[in-house]
Amino acid sequence: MKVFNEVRAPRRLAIAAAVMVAVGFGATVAPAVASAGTATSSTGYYTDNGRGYFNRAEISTSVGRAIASSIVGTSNGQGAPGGWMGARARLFSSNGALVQESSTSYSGANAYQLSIPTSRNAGGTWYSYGVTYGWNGSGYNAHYTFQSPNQNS
Amino acid sequence: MKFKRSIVAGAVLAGALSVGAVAGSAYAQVPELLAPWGVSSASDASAMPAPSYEENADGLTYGSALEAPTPALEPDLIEAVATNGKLGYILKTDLDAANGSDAAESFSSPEEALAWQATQGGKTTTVPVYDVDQTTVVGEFLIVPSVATSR
Repeated sequence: MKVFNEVRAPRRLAIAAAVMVAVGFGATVAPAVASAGTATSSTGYYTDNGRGYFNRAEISTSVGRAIASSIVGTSNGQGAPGGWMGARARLFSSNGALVQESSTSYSGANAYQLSIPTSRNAGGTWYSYGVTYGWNGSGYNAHYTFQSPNQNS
Repeated sequence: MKFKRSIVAGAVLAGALSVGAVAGSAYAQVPELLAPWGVSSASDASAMPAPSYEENADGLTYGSALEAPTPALEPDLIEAVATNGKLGYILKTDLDAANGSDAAESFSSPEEALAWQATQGGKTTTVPVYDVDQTTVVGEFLIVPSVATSR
C-alpha cells in the first residue's frame, strides 16, 4: 500500500497541475462571461444656483449589448424644481470613438435624481462618459461626468 | 527521483495558479482618475489636461471627444462609429444641434427646457458621418430619444 501511494503521489500532483493549468487558461480566454455587469465612474460634485449636485457615468454590459447611463442627482437627496437637472448619455468604444448618444432629458418636478441611458447591440469594450446639466438661474451649465472604467460585452 | 517529480509537479502547479491569478486580475482596467473641469471628486483627482487635436486640410480639429474635459473643448470633427459600423467623424455643430446641446444653451427658463423635451426630446435624429476631410459620407450616426428615469 505504501509503495502504491509513493508511485501515485507525483502522478496526482501532475493531474492537479494539469487541472490548474486548465483553470488558468479558462481565466484567460473567458473574459466575456466575467465582464457582464455594471461599472461606475467616480462621483463628481458641483454647485449650480446654490444647489449641490452629484453626477456619475455607468456602463452595463451583457453578451453583445452595452448600455451607457448618465446619472445626476441632488447632493442632499431632496427634490429639485422641475427641469433643474438634465443629462445626456454617451457610449464610447475603447479606441475613443463615439458609438451611441442619447438626446438630452430634464428632470420632472421634485425629482432628486435623473438617469439617462443609451444602448447599442454590439460586442466590444466600452466606456461611458456622460454630460449633465444644472440650472444656474439664467441658463444651464454643462458638466461632464468622470469616465467610467471600461467593460466588455 | 520521487522527490524531484514532486518538486516539478509542485512548480507547475504554482505556475498555473500564478497564470490564472494574473490573467484574472489583469482584466479589470480602471483608468487614471482625471476630473472634468468644474467637477470635483471626493478623492484626489487632477484636472484633465486640455486636449491637443490634429487638424485636417481645412483646418478643422479632429479626434476623440473622450479626451475633452468640457463640451466646449471637443474637436470640430468628433470620431464616431456609423450605424453601418464604419469609423469616421461627425461635425460637432451637427451633433450639438441634434442632441439638444444647442437648445440647452438657448433656454431662458427650466420651463422652456421641459417644453422642448415634450415636443423634440422624443425624436430620433441622424447626422452624417464623414471621412476626416469631409469629402465622403461613410454612414450616419443616430441620436436616440432617451427613456429617462426621474425620481
